Amino acid sequence: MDARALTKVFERGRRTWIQRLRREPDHRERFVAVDGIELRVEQGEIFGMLGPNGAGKTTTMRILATLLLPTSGAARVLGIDVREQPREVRRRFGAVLSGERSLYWKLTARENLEYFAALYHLPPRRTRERIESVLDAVKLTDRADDYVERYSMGMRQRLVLARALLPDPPLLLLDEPTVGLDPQAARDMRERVLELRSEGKTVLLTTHYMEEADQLCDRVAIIDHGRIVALDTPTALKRTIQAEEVVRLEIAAEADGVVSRLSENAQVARQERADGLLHLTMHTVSARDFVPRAFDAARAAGATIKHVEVVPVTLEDVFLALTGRALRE
Amino acid sequence: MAGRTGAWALEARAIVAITRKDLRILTRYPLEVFNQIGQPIYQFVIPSLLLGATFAVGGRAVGLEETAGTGDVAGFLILGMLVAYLVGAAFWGIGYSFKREMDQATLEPAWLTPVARETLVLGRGLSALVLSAIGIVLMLAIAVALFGVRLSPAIVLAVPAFLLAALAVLGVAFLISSAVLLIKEPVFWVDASDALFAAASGVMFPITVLPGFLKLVSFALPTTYAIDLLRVTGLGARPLLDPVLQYAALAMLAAILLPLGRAVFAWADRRLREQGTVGQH
Ligand SMILES: Nc1ncnc2c1ncn2[C@@H]1O[C@H](COP(=O)(O)OP(=O)(O)OP(=O)(O)O)[C@@H](O)[C@H]1O
Ligand SMILES: [Mg+2]
Repeated sequence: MDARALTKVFERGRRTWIQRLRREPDHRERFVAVDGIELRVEQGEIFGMLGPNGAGKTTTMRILATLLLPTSGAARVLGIDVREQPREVRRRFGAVLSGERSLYWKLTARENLEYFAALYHLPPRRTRERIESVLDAVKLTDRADDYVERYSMGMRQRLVLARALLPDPPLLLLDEPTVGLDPQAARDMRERVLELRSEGKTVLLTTHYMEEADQLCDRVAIIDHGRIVALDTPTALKRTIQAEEVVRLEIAAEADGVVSRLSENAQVARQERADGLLHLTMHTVSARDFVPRAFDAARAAGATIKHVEVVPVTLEDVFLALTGRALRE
Repeated sequence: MAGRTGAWALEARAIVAITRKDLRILTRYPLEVFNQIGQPIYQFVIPSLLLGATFAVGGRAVGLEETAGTGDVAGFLILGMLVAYLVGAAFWGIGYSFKREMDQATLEPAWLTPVARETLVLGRGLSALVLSAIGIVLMLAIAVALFGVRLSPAIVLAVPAFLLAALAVLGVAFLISSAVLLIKEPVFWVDASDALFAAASGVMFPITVLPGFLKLVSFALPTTYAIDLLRVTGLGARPLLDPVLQYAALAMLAAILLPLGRAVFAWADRRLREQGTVGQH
């Protein structure tokens, strides 16, 4: 699967027929949601798109899923152009795009799947066996004849995944597959995704949970404002930060000089004032060396460190280093 | 690769699956079944038959006899309603149902499958036809049992007209579906155009009473001819035009409306793909 210079421009606001007829200038605001995305997903990998709200992840996904036409650029799924042959492309992927609401609540899981199996053109002979197999894959066999309205959110999300698996597609597009799930259900879902890879399927997913991207993905594209700002394996991405550990400090009192003193011993990745405290995120090679020095520096500047936290480098820090902003802002 | 016939069979199977799904859901809302099938009957058919009976002289509606050539109000209305069911199926059963699917977020997953988009329209059409057929049978039973309607066997001569009108109305259903997919709040438009379409087709009155320009609209509607031919054959009413001409008009309208509807629907599908709004309602 690959995308070249993929761009999507949305027009906001309306242009009335009268404006069109009078050929008035177009005053609609143009908004670039996807801005020249280039990526190549290899067969059999789990590829993640990580980015904050509004970064353009879903839009990219919807272009690949043939729901949206790109303004320019091209994308191919298993060598087939999404713009030219959308139906051929749709034969080759299963998608979880619209969340767990997108089921018929007054039908049972099995009835939902029967309906979609026919839309997926599954041959009648194979339908029953496929339905049993996907129900089994998402562990819903024993609840298959209950109405979907009686399902928990996690079960519905699993059923949505089962639906995407019906045609046994080589490629899966998963938009925020764990959003809104409780931790256990989210963990289950991630395990399912890993199983899919072990079955040789290619998975493209979006998330704004960095842990998820880190644990699950072979490669991650970090997306911001419709652009890929970094693309590599999670390990390699984290290595771009010249640090082994991240130290978070909360410091009380005015202490103007404290930041410059601290920055002699580690790199200030971020500073923010909130609740009367100075919140600092520091990148360091060794927290063990840095933390005692931080206390000394604070004392010298007449400030008090209220809280210290040492955490490993995450993709969040990579995002922060690249954009100067936190993922969830 | 599936052969050509195989591809057709798969689309046909999808149509059946859509219908089965719609009917299954309906059986889980018994009141909704009653509403969809019964409402036109108790809200419209029975009151208008009673109203007609009020104005009848010795069982015959003299005024209607004068304008339409038949004094059988009940028969006149029933045959109009027969076609109104068809129109309702197109506007609500097909067109508006896309709105419901969008609201439930179930349209997008269907849109993501390799099924032909038109199949989604046809599948809705089949389920709407099944429901309409039940309504029609019920209505005819009431008309015959309670209002003494008697139709001439010659009405079978109008069956091809009914089928041609159904094809043309399918074209209209494609048009309405396109509008529903693109317009944010379609309920008013569907309701208003359904009512106008039915009225201008002469469901409840002979179109000869319409003012001039509306009469022009009537002659542009396939349903006008279907209703008239049913009344001519079933009740011996006076034809609006020579029946041969009417058949020609019907065939022509079907030949225009069906391809037009399909073309507009394909265009709407493309617009939707530019705007990306199939899942955002
Ligand atoms: N159909 C549309 N019409 C106009 N603008 C749109 C449309 N769809 C998305 N956008 C805009 O494009 C931008 C990118 O949206 P997108 O849904 O791709 O972001 P995202 O990365 O998936 O974010 P999130 O994490 O919130 O899901 C947003 O600003 C959004 O408002
Ligand atoms: Mg999104």
